[in-house]
Amino acid sequence: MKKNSHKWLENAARRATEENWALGSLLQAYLKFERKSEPDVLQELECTIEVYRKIAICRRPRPLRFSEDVDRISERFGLNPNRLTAVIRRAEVLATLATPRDEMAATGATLLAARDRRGQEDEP
Amino acid sequence: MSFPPPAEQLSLHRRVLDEDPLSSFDVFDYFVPELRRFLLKNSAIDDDIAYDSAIDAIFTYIRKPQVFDPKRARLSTFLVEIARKRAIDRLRSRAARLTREKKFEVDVDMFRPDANNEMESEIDAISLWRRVQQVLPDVHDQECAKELMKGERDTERLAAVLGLGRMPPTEKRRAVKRRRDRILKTLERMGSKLRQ
Repeated sequence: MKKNSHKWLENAARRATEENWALGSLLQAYLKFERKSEPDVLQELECTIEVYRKIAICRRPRPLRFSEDVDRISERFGLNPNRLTAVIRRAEVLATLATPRDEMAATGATLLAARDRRGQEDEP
Repeated sequence: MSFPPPAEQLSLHRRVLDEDPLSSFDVFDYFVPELRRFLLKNSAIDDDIAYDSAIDAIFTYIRKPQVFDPKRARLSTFLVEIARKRAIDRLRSRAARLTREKKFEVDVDMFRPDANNEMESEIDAISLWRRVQQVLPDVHDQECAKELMKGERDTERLAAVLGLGRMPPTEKRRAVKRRRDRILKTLERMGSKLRQ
């Protein structure tokens, strides 16, 4: 990381909250739906504001390589991968639940719910 | 310091295409300081515009990395081109805003009462304020107009008088800008009518 990074990092991280590809938008969803402040999340992730901004401009972990991606992000910025996973997973669920149905259909997102097997309730 | 070597740029581009989660951070980290330096050296812009334009260029690239063709140019060349265009857009936008604000100040100055005649000043001010109340019926807008006339530019202060203080920061900034622009436009129109 170069010197004076704080000059652009804050700006880039703020703008990343509006970019769907960025982890920043997921963190923003987490703040919004959990009604938490940035200091709350810094405490949860056990990181500094600078690290928080750095992960905000990373891409979201790829669904098929989720663990590997979270591990790499955590390793690079010295984060606890379990804590990062918990925040990302929760943010994903909250963001999906908050997405209007039409938008979900357009993006191909799906919500699944568990259901009893047919006839299961009749069994003794 | 300079842009990364071509092979490193190509490798970074492949990681971006592969949606490697760290690739976007690395693009920012490698290129923002260099793009800024390049823009400052080659154009008459300030530090803020240079940084913002560099960041614009990278967001544009990350959103659609497939638009960049590595056979035609280096990634740094591609990003410099975008950053330069964004810097020009920002300069034009700033110039237009300054012209708008200057025009508003001139309109208000024209109706500023003579300070030597206190009573006349007061009557003129009351009359002018009534006109403002007519064109801006919303009380929050009126308070915001007062702040703008005082030269207030702080987003937090304007958000507070507009009753937008509790919004999330990004939405707040946008909402304040929208309302501020609308109020200035309305006052500008009012000034033009009075002048006629």
